[in-house]
Amino acid sequence: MDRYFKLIIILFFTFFLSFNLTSNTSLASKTENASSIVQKLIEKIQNIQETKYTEEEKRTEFLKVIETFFDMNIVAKVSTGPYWRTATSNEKKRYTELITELIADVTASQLGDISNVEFQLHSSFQKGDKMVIVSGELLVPNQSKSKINVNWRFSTPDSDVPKIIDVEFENISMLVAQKEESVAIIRKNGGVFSALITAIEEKLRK
Amino acid sequence: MILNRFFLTATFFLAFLSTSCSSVDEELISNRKDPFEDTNRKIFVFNDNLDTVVLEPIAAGYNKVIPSYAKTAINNHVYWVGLPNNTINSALQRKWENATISSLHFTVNALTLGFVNLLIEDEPPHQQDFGQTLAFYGVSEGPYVVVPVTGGKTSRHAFSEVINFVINPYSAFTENKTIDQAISFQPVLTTISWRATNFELVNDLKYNSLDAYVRARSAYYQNRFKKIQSYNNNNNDNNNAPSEADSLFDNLDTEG
Repeated sequence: MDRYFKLIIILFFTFFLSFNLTSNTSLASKTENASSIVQKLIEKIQNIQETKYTEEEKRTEFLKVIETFFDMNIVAKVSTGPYWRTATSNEKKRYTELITELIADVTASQLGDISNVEFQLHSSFQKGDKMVIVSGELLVPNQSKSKINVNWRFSTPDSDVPKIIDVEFENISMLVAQKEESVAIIRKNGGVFSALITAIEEKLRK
Repeated sequence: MILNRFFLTATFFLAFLSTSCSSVDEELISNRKDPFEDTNRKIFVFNDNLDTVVLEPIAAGYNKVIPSYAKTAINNHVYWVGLPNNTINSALQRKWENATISSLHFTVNALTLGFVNLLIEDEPPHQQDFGQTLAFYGVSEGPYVVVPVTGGKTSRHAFSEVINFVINPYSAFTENKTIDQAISFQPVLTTISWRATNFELVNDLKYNSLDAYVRARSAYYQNRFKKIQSYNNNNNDNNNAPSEADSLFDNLDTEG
């Protein structure tokens, strides 16, 4: 009886230790994975900056980067707040396409003409169950502010590759700002979701 | 002299608040913190035009003409001028260590009027303003107001800027005409230096947003929230302080 009891205790501790080790390894791998994705993203941006593209080609390349590294479904959903539920499926699809284009356009205008952008990793940590934040400094030579604090927020679902869902520059979340803008536009137009789509289309045409 | 300046600025500020606060229809307000959005937007357009016509070209020229070492010296000086304020506010918030570091930095760098940071190796004190002190004592932030020239902020923060303006190391020498002129030039220098340092960030906000007013307000609140939160949590590491973005993902199903 005593032997059985000891065996159960040993089995319990073995199980407990292996579970803890697995979950810690999984946490570490999630944060490491997210950090390496940021480095890959920076390399992609450097490649675009170093290659002689036309403005239109540059824009297309940045669009590919956004589609690859960002979870645009989450970005679209979160950036419209409560109005996402009121949109039709066609409106949701169109808005997701447009917001992707808008982010690509803004990124191309901000980073397209700069060279030698680098990222200095400071830390990478878990935030909640399914998010990781990769924090560091973006080094942008020949700009008025050559060091910009950046936090990349990743969604890290167990079943899929981690993707970026938000970027914070100098404590300012682009997603929070986008959400406030989108909600303000929809509200100003009496809660009509399509007004936001029209506003982004007009912005992209300019 | 100091009192005169204080009352003049405070009167201007109160007069501005009382004339500008015409509220808009509740339904059309895009943010509950901004009940005077209608008036605020008009002042924002004025500030935006002023920036386009005056500040942006000056900041662009400043970035082009002034060598980087001179820009660093000017930034150091602007920072040094704010240190007495920082010391007082840190002390008022019982952040004794920060108050001591701040006064030490002010005293040592006074040798160069702050243009050269003689304590560059040391960790700089954390910036604390009177608005943060008022927050510490539980004063509510009040509605969002856009002040001509200086921009949008909570009314608590706008009021605190009046106090910040009065507490200036040069104030002790107001009998001297040259120094008196230097005081008048301080806000101008601070504004140009700030605009030049944040040139691309501000232009991005101006030219790349769907609604520049809302984006500016959002940027202000996020930055301010993080500053005050990091103090309240006694957390000097800004990255670990909670941010407004955290609440966006509270109920997010990342699998779906």
